[in-house]
Amino acid sequence: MNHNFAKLYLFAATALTIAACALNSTPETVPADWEQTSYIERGNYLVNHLGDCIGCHTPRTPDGQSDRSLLLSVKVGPSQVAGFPGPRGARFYAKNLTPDEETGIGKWSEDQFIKTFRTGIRPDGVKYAVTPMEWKIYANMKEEDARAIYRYLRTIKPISNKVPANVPPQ
Amino acid sequence: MHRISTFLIAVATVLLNSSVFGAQLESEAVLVARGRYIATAIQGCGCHTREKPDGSKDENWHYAGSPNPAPPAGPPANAGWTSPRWKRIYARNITPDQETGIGKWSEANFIRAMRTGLTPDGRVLDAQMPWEAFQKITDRDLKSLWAYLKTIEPIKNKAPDGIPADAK
Repeated sequence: MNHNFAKLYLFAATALTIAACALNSTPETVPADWEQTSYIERGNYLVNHLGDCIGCHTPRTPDGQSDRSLLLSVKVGPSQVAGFPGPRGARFYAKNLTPDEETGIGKWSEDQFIKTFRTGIRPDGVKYAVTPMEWKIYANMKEEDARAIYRYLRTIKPISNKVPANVPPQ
Repeated sequence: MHRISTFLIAVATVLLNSSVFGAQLESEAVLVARGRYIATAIQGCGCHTREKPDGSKDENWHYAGSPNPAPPAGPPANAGWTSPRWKRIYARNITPDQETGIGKWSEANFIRAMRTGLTPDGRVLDAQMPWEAFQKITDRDLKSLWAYLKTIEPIKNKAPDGIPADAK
């Protein structure tokens, strides 16, 4: 009897383990056109590769490569310190996209991020002017892609760095 | 006989579902549509389109590169960038213009340039053109971008040559 009970227990435990593994490995439901299997993987692809957000939002090392240790923080670096020149003396600074609460976008909700991304209007109501950040283009982005970017950005290391305010065209 | 046909169907199914063949089986229209989405929503390739005085992109100059002659100062898409290798480096014309754009490139030329920075005429693209980040763009997305680039308006503009960092 005891022996049978132990067998039953072992069987049940094994079945539960297999079921748990199966649930864990079930891919997240993602849009059919994606080659990536999760939102975070898609976001990583868009931020670091296809969309090249790191190009402006990550400092470069002296040899011109993106400094991965300062990923998306815009802490130091040539263009990032000097800013990007705009029309009539304007100067634009790439923002800190890390989840830092004070200097990054750590306090932004997913919906705030999506809205900002698709309208160019920040959660505090400030409308971004014409900048190297191509708001007109990103307004065309599918909501799923914008969500993927947000969810990936939540996974990177928060870095404290207060970016200077933009200098508008004179 | 029945066995063989079952086997062939199985092989065909595997091939159709594999990503390599899947990408090739997509129609040109599907590739162009995806390429257009990428170019108009995710990777605008904005460096290749000059800006108007108000800072917006000049839509009549779509992807024609830095103007020649380039102004001495102003937004980088017009006046060029600096980099460790270059005192001044300019965005190329990526419209299908035969002489001044990439109209003579093949899809393979394009994918190689995007992945390695090597152009068919033997140049190595500066890191300002982020080909290192682009290395991991999927085959499918690169083919889509290329399919889209072939459909845009050719514009004649020979982007200025870069000025090397050690130039006097």
